[in-house]
Amino acid sequence: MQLLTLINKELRQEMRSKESIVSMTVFGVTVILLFAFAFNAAPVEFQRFLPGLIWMTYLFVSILGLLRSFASEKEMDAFAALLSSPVDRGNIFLAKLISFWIFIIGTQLLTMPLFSAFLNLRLGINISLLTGVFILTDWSIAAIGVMVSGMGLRTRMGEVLVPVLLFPLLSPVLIGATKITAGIFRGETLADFNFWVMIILTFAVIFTLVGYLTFGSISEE
Amino acid sequence: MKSYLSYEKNKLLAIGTLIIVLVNLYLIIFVAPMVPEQEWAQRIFYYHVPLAWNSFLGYLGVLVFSILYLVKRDPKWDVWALSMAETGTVFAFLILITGPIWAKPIWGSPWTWEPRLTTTLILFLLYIGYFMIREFGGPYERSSRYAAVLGILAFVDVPIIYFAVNFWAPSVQSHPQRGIGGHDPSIKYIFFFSLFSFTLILVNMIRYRLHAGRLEQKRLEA
Repeated sequence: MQLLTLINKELRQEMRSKESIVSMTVFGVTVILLFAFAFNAAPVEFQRFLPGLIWMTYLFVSILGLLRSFASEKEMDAFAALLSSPVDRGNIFLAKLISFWIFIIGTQLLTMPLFSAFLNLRLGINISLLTGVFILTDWSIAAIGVMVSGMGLRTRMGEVLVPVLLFPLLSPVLIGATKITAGIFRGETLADFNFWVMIILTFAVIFTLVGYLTFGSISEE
Repeated sequence: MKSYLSYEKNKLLAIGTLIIVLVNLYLIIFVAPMVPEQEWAQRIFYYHVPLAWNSFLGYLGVLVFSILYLVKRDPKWDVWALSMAETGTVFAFLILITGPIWAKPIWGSPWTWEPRLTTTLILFLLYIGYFMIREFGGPYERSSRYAAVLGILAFVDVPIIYFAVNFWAPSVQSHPQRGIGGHDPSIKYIFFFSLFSFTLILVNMIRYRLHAGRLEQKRLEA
């Protein structure tokens, strides 16, 4: 119940300001455009790099979103108010995680067509499988991202610390996601990259748990 | 507080370690048998592998003391975690140096995406972040709390990174160290002696860092 209220608060805030999704989408479009300019290559060659480019784009987009994710708490010290209300710290973490997860999925829905338009992403692929992979990977990114940006919230160099900490922590997820995406582009089935799904799933489960348990220590004054 | 070496115990430990390290060097250079095909390059293995084991020992310590610190909130455990992290990272850095030195003549290129080497590199980067958060995390109490959480996150991440990297580039050959002990039993003895001497170096460094950390703590309290 508490959790639902918190998620509701996050979503309503976003509905009114549209801060996160708009900034993430615009930034995503810019990055995709830059990739198209930087790799002015033949359509066939693009197929090899595309999985990597897709996930690089969404990692950058996530960083931008994560730096904003606690911004409203920072202003007027709203975080102190949130913490002084009788809510479980773990639930604050889960609410942030789920709302950020929804934002990044929303951003991907808006920007993925551009990969097809600018970077020759073929449409004849297994879309439902791809969607599943995106949803799972986004959860992992959100789980670790919310932890790290929670730390960055009150540090002097938060904007630097968040990417410096997030990229190495996320490396197994990035490897797994690009491998699976490449597999889907080649027309492979789920059985061919079972292992990578397990890696990302393990990551998601472990860091959701660790985040839930340790968020109290992070959010303390 | 007196200086580190003015304590009788520390002095004995340091002198003992120095002697053992010198003996170890003698054993590695003059006694250890040559391994066919690898010749001198193989000898860095007496240096590289103990470094790796001890570095992970240090990082395991970070995990344990970070959890202790988060539960008990006693700054004592934070000093322990920091000492372990710093020495572990020095060792990790040396792994990253010695790995390519060995790989250049044996594999023909200084860097391959060998799973253990890659995992160490990522771990090293994570701990750079760990020290950054200690430096820029704000007041002491808060930054050490953040660092403790990160110490746990980093250690939990390591096995996942290792498995991911291992299957990321399956064509990269793994360390061929398992079979080497079979050539000559003396290799094993010298290796374990080397491991022992490097562990002693680690202990010395951690004790020294703890001493410095406690002095720092005193200054903060004063």
